[in-house]
Amino acid sequence: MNKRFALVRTLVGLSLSALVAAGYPMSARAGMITTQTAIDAQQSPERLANLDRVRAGLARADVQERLQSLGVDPADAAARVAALPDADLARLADRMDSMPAGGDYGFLAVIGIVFLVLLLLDYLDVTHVFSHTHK
Amino acid sequence: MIRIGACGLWSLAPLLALAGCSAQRLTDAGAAQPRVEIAATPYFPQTDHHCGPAALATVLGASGADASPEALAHEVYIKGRKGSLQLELLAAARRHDRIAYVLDPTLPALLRELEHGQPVLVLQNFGLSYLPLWHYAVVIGYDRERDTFLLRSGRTERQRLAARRFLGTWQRADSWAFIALRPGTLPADPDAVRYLEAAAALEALGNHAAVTPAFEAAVKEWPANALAWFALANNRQAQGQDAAAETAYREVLRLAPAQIPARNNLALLLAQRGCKTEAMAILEPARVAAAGGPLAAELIDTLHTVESSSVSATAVCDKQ
Repeated sequence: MNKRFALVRTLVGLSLSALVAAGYPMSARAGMITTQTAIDAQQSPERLANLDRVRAGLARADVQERLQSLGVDPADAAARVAALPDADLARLADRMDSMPAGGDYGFLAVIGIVFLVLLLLDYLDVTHVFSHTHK
Repeated sequence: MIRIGACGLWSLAPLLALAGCSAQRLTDAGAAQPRVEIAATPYFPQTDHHCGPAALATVLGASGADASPEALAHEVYIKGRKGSLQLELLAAARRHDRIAYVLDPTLPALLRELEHGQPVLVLQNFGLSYLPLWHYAVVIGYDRERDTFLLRSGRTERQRLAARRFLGTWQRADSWAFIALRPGTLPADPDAVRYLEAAAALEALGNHAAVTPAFEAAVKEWPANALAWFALANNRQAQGQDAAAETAYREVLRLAPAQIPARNNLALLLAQRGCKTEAMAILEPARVAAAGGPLAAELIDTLHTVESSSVSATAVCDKQ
């Protein structure tokens, strides 16, 4: 299952990366070194390795697929990955699930924390809200 | 069952004790003014889990870019995560022609921006390091005497938070903060490379004309910075302003004669207008210097392009 998924992902990625390479905004003339490339060459040459460029194409497909599976509309997801720089795409492909997703800290979440704290204090015999549980 | 849960909680006890603790006071952190409040900052009350779109609409609106939280939800909100990712907030700001500049993760950096009249979008963690509850809000000011921060946050238009409390939540989110800048406006205390990279990320979306004021402001702010001139040259080149681009590339090489990308791009411009000999002279030192480095392949391609270009008898090539 995982292997098959990985294969499909690779194939989709490869075909999409070709499309993306053709459609991604480039400077007007072939051969011109972009400002981002010049900064990378100065700051982090490893980013420029060819391998990373191929990976960016794969990551684009990967992130788009992931966004859709998390409920993002397909058209929105395509526009969103198109707006992400290569380096960010690679980071998202690697670590999207562990990245902070700022939402609402929410009433229920706060209640949950309060509950846990009370539970802890109860366990330590500081409070007796749930004292029947261990007496 | 309760015991198991409670045992798990033991490990949280020291964290609970730490939550909200931060020794820094605004006076000690160098707050320059007694009170700052960027009152003109718009306010968008968040709906369920939509603090990302609401906070983003707030900083975009303050920078003069109108976007509703509802429209922005399509650009940043992830239903399955009930929230929005930092990298997507930055990307969405760029989609609205704003430069997304991430601040140094320090309190003084935050204070400088507020004193500069710039509302700051921050990530907060209302939970614990190991049980995070993420939230985005916009800091719009501080009160040094009362040691408080002012925020547009969630469903509160003007939230006053004790500095100690705010800093606890912010530092548990790695003190992450960014500002949305209209191209041409600089951060309060800008780092040249980071600013140019942020502007280049906006330019990569394709609207070169919209970013021009950012690069013009950069060469004004850092007239001796070769990278700033290179960015401006590229921006002009992408808009077909070849003569102005050439002047800027030559300025790069005056400041930093060894800069490989500028030699590469200038050589291409020269070759294109029929100045093959001059193009070869500009390119050759760069091609040698680039060999074996990260730009080696680009330089070899450029050499082929220049070699196969034709010489024009009418071109004026000798301006140095």
